[in-house]
Amino acid sequence: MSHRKKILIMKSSKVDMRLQVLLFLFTAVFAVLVFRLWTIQIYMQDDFIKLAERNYYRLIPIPSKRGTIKDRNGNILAMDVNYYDVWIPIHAKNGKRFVSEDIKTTLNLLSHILEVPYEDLEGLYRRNKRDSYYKQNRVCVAKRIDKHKYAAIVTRQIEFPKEAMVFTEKVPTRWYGYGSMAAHVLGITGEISPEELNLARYAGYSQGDRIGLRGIEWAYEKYLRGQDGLNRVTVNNHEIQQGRPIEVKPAVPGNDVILNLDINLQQAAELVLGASKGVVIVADPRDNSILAMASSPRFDSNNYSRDFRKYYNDRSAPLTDRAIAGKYPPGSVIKVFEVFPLMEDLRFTPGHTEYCPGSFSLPGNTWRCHERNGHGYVNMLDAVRLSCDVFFYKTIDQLGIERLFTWMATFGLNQKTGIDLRNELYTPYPNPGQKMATKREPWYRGDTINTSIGQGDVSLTPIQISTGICAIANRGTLYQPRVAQKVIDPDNNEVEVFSPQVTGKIEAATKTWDAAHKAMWEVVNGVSGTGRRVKNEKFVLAGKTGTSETGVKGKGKEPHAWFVCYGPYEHPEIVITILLENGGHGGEHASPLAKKILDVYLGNVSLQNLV
Amino acid sequence: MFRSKILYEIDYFTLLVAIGLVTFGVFTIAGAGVNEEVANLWYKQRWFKQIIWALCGFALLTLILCIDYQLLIRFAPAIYVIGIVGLLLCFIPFFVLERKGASSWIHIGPLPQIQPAEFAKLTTILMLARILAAKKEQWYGLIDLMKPLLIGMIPSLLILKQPDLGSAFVFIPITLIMMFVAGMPYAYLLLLCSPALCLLGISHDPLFILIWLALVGSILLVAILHQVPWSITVPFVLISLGAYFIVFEYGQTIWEHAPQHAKLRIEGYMQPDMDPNATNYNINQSKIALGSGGFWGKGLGKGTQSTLKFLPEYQHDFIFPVVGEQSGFIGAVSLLALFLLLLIRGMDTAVEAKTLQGALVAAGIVALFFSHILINVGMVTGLLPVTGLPLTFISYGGSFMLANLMGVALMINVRMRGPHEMLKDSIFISRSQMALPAHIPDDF
Repeated sequence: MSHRKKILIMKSSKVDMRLQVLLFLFTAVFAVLVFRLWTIQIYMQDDFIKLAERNYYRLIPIPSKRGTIKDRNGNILAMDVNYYDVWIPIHAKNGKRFVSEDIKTTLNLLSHILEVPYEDLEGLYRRNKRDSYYKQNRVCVAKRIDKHKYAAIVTRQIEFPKEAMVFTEKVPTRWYGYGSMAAHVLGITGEISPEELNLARYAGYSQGDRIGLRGIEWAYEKYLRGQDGLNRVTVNNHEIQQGRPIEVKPAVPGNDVILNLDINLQQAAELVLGASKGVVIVADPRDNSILAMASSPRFDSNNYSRDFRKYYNDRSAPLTDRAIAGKYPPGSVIKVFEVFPLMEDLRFTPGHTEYCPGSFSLPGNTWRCHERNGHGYVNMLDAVRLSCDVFFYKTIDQLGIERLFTWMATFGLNQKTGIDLRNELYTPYPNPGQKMATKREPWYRGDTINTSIGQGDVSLTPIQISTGICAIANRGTLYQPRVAQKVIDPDNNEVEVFSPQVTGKIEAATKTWDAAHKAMWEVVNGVSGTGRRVKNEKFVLAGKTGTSETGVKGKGKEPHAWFVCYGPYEHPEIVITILLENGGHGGEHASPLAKKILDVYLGNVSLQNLV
Repeated sequence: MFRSKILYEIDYFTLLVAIGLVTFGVFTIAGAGVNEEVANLWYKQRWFKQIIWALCGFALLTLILCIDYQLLIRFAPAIYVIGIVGLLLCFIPFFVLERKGASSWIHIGPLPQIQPAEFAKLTTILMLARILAAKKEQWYGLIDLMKPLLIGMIPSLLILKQPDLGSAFVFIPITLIMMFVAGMPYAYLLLLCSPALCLLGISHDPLFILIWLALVGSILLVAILHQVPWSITVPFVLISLGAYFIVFEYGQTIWEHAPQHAKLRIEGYMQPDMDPNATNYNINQSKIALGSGGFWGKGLGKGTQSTLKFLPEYQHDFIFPVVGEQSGFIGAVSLLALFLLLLIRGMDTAVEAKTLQGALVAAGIVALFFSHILINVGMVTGLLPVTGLPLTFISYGGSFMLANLMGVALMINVRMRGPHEMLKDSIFISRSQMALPAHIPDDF
């Protein structure tokens, strides 16, 4: 009987009451839970929806293709080529130093494909993971791999573990097909700096964008740059894209820029310069479009960032574009321009004669002619042909610095030419006001003498000389030099055509023009003219040599050799400007280069046989 | 042995609520798993497996209904020992199946993997019901208090060793609630809780210490006023003081030597905004899932947090956020309402039970369900620290589903066998063995 009593034990009402107390407690707890749910799901709903979207939406930029740069015949000088970056997801839950088995497998496979030691990859992964922790869910383990390795990764994608899938990102990279050719003109691209981001010019740019840093890339940035596109995709917790993008904003490629450059002439110009320091500019005097512009030494555009340090420290300054930023005394080349004030202001005739005894003296100083024994009696044309210094000492002394300065300024020698490239420089043409302002010294008569033969403080860039010669060749119109011809969009429609920009008019009598042209003709075609080495019967040239002292004596400090010419004589269509820095004498060293370039221009010699 | 009348006495209300909850769970699991690797094979998917487990569970439920719960109470010690043996198997490397750093699963021969802890909760409830009922609501000395505590503590400690903190913790509310239902005086309860209450007063602030002294003093006073035997008062006051001073003196050291993951969880709970991608990743993603669901939810299978796997453990411990994400506030509250309905019905069963054993069994099952729901939902909403504990009926898992349905079976069992049934329609106890208890109320 005893165990039956144990089985049936009746409960009292106290138990029932306690059960009700418990039930009340439970219900209260459920009310708290419901209130908590209300807080999260209704009250804070918007915040959490945003957080959820941050989890699974990714905005993936589609890099746009930067415009191509072509020469006047359609040869591609610079274009975008696709390279790829390789990324691996971070597993957020793992510690900073942790590398999971899946990641190890992936890195191992990558090291086989990319032919990089495994340790390097893992080190890179660890380092990048530590640095990017909490900021993004993936790290970059390989940059700028080419399309072959990219193809290898894509084809072997299935071998990577699901949890550590690699993904690649297209990175368009600038490619300069001719290497260092026209490096200064084309310029280079690079990542935008934080300082540049603040400039009005770069409004709408964001960090990491590519911009043109110099040359055409800089000047035509707004045309070349495309609009980056945007992909809105869904990803899972391993950053792996799910299905197709939800929203696609396609990238807009940049427009192409067609240059006036002719790669034949450009290559010829660079070939004839060779390793020597110097500048060759070939321009069309009819609108001052630049057909070739070579500055030597150059840099390799394709490896600019890699070798930047080397170039930067190079004493020969390969980064400087000597054509627009190299300032040299023009020497006798300036005499061509001085014909104009002499004839216009002093009413000289071409037959005006002076006596050259070999030197010219003022109280306290004596200036020599380059011909020690003197040229004897020389008229103006002879003075230009023989490059007689004394003739110009005397006549310009008579003219005075103010009138000389005014005339030189009309030829654009006291201003920037306004060429469509970056970092053009100029030095004010010497004059009393400028000398007082900078040196706090009055203008002496001797300064005029020095200035008269393009020495002293006269300092001009080759592009200024070229532009002035163009104005002489086309009888009076000063054009802005132009490297770019037009901009076309990817469908070959013209976006913008750059018409010649006139920056000045030179008013002179016809006989003055004739005299100046005749004088330059004499230099090349006359008896014992300094430029006789480029004489050409079929394509008549007219030119002027120059040999400018650097003011520094000693070995290796040769004078700068200048040669400018235009042709054909009757209807000029080409102006060649040559400067050899410390290159010797204009007639002897510089003018032969002009002959070679002309041969290429006329199609007489192919590039292969040039040197 | 089996009479057709039994069909009429089954508590269909409880059964229907249970079926509703299981269905809710199956749909939730199906919606969360649309992006699974095996998505093309429907019979390999979790929702299908869950249905199979549920069917097994209902079969088991039917089987349990055929056995009088009084018989189960009678054999409770044996059943309890079986549960303990199951837990002990978890320490034998031959049987154990380690998963996620815990040796909670065992596999015996061709049987599917079993999680003995889930069944041990039920066996402990049966054992506690027997022990507590035997007291006949009479509470005397320390032995009365220590016996149920010991019975609850043994499986709890074994589970803690696995380690499965959540399941081990669940034994505490179950034991306390059952002791409370069994008529334990409030003063005893206060004394039981006094060590925990004391630890709340840990501070270096003199004012706090004063308040704490007042607290201990008032507990003592209550104990004296309620004539709690000294054999209970003295040990618990000593334990409280000891705990206080140990934590006061060595708290720093204990904290430094605590397991790293436990420390991180507590730190994460204390500072919810800390480390959203590491320490608080789980709870952060859970809240995002709930919050982004809004009022109406994103739709079945359209929850981004679960299908794109930002939510960890979205089929086990973190299934409630999936509910909240897929079916919104409406769905989450409906689920809670269903749960509450089950708990109310369970309590009602306990009230209706008439016998103390039945009331205790039903109250124990309700306590079990309630603890799971509170700890799980509290965890995923950030109210409580993260402890891995699945959500009753909803979380994916075979053993868990079987254990839950067995619990429901016990509840129904109690309800369909009032004293009247025991006298007339008992299946196993023959009519001749029946006798009326000594103190049947007059109106019976």
